[in-house]
Amino acid sequence: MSHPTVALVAFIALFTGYLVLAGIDYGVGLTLPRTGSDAPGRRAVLGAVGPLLLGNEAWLLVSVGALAGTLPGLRGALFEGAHPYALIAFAGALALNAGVQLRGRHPGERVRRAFDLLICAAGAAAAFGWGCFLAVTAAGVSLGSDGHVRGVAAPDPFTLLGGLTMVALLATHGSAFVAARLTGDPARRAAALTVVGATLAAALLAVTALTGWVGGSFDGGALRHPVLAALAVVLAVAALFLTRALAGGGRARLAPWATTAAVIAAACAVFAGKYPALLTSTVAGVPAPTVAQLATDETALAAVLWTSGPVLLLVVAAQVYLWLAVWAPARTAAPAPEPLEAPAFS
Amino acid sequence: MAPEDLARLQFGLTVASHYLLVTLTLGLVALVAVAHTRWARTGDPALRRMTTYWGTLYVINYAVGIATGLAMEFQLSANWTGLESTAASVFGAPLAVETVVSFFAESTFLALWIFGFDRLPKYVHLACIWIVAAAAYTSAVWALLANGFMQNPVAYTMRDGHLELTSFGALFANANSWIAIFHIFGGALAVGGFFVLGVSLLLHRRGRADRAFVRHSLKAGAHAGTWGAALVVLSGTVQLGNTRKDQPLKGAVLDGNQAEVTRQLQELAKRFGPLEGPPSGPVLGALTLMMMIGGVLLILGVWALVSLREQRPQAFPPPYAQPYPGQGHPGQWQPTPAPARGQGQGGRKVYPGQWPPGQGPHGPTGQGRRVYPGQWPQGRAPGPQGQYGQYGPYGQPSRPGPYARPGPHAQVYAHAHVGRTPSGEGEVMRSAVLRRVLPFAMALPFLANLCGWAVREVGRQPFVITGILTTRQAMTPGLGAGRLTASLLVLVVLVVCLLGLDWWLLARAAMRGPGEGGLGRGAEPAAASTASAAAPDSLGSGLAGAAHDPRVDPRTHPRAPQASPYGDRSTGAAASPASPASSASAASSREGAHPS
Repeated sequence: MSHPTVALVAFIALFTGYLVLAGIDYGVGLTLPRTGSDAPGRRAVLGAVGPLLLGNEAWLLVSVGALAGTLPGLRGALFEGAHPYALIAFAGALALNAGVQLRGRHPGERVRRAFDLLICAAGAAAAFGWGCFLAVTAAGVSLGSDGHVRGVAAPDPFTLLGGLTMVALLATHGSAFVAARLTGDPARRAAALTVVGATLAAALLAVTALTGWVGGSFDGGALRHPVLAALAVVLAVAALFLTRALAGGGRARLAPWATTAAVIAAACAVFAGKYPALLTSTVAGVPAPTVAQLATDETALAAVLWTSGPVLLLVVAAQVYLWLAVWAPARTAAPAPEPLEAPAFS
Repeated sequence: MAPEDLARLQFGLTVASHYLLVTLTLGLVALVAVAHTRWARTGDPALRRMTTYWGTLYVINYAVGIATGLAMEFQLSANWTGLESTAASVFGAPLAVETVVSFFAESTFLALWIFGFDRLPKYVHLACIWIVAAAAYTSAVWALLANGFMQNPVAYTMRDGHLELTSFGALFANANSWIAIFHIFGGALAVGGFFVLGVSLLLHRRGRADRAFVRHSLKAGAHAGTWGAALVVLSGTVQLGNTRKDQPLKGAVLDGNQAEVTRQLQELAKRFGPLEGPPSGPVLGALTLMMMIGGVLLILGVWALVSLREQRPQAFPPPYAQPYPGQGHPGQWQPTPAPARGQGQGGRKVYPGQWPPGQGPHGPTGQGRRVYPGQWPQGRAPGPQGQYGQYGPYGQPSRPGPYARPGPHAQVYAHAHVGRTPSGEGEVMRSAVLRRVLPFAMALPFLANLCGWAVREVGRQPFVITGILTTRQAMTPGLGAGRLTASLLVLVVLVVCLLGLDWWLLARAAMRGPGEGGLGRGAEPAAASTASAAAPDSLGSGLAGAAHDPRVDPRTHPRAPQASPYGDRSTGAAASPASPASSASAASSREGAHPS
């Protein structure tokens, strides 16, 4: 495999990982008013995702940063073509981070309610933005023959439906996570929400795919492998039905695995369907640039890949460790912490 | 304003905010890592408080720093595509490695560290914070490798308008980058050190922190501040010489040689068209201010180190300093009758108040083993002692050791500290001037860092990449003033809000003191939640969820000490109504009860 291909595959893997992991944060955020009925409930819900937030959100900068360093052409064109949606997504991610960090800093209940709403809106914005971004990627951007993007993609039904689908999908993902990690009232509410969300997400996903197909969004060779894309959509829908069965059947602990499969399948419907030409033009007669054309020069590419590759694997291993530690059910009581000795106020 | 100026203003404001956040992050993480190491080795609870307290401030600052970083990333792709399209491979490669290697590792291991209080094995947890610190500093290295290329381009060829990297090793070996790297490491350490000094003194003044915590923090801060300032001054001197060689135009501006500046601009105009040089006055002013601050910080740092020294009691009293028992004035050496032979046999009690904070009978507490207040470590009981305990007849300690060793002398040391030394109930820092000045001096390193940034980046004008790409060429072609004004307004509001928010949060969290909230408290049994696995995790409690507790009155707070368990004399002082320190301490608890 040549270096540009490795970089492309790495980006797809990192960005899909970002959607799966940060999708939990966004989903938990946007279902927060529903899953947490009272103040302690909301606190427990946010506490469930708390230790993972920083690690999850890092995947955004890592995937985009790696793309900028290895395939600057692809990043430039995609982010220019889908500019407003990327902006919504980035703003949502930013606000969610800030909201979760700041919420606890004020003791007032009313202020916290306001923060809850902000977190909910931010989660919805991030999910919607990335959904639209993926839809624009699937349909292609208005790339001119000179290699410059002519303008941003107009908001057509396919794009907006893509955004809504991602909102429903990540809401299911987040509430399934809450249902699996908590017990008691928040978990019951989250499980009920998962069942509803999975149905809605499956329906929206099917409608979006059909809209794109019927509406001609994939015309002009936008998808290299339409069969693969259709297969991925079917898999995502199947995973959502499995989620429904698991969450409704009292096996909430397993449901997040099914939603994870659904998110991966939804992202792969776009990425695998278009591979290897992630960037296609909606302008007639303009061929899709090859990966090599989008890549930076060979020395820089090799340097980036060989420097960051091993470290990346190590960091991912650390994240897996963190997940295992957080995910493990509290079977054995943790060793009692050493009692803190009293601080002496001088 | 011209589009070029608008874009530069926008980027300048964003980078300045980002830089202010990042220097504090870098400075604090080093101090947190050192404090954690000392905590892991000694088990001293004051060091644990130090780790969690400064760690909380570090994490808040880090989270906001990411946001400004995002704003910067946006501008690079929106306003400066000229730079990206020309130099993507040279400029983009180090930045990509920075995000992937350093940022990812930093965030992940930071999350693991926050989670790991009381959960991870001791040394695995310690390794986490060291990886975070290493990632933070390598992150600065990568960013400055890219910046060093822009100042002094090396290892590239130009092929149809695009720069191509010829050797990654040569890019790595750019002297310009490395001088700047050490300069910024020093600057960051100075920022962190003086921040810790100032905040600790404020906490102490308001009675929000215990003495041992304040002493540990002050010492760490003074060391970081002094050595950071020294590194900055040294590398800055080297950098000034190097600039004249690498960037003659900037060198001429810094020398104030206007004729040479004009001559060089005329030379450059032949290749790039009419150019405007860097504004001489402001750049020179920033350089002067920065150098002055550097000198002031160095003096303050050394002074703080001296002022923090423990006054070590003399091992043996000079003959003239031996008044009859009870007749010396406080602080003077007062011999006490030695106990009868045999009294010092095993298990002899050492009462709280006999050791300087953090010091056990065998040096710092718990080095090697824990020493509990009031106990001799097993097998270390003082043996039979003569008139002068373990000391030889000629005033020489019979065993060399850094700190006063007890024998029957313990009583003596207790007196020797009274009122005179920082470890007594006197001040945490001897110099009253410094105690007044240091809280204000916190601002100086920030200011100096901004000045340094201005000298390096404004001084590079009119180029983005020296001698290759002018600032005008680096902009996105066809970018209008209207769009730039809009994004300038949005971003300036956003970034200024973020910076203000960060400082507000930092001030709130800082003035809460080390006693409450903070990292790692979520694991305490008191915080157990109704939801099973959802006992609010550290991030959830320390940063997101908890710290919700209403502020606790230190007088009624159950954790507020009535008698300090480890030899801290402050409570003893508070018990005696005549002591001036006690009224100060009472005043500070009143202040603590009614926070402004």
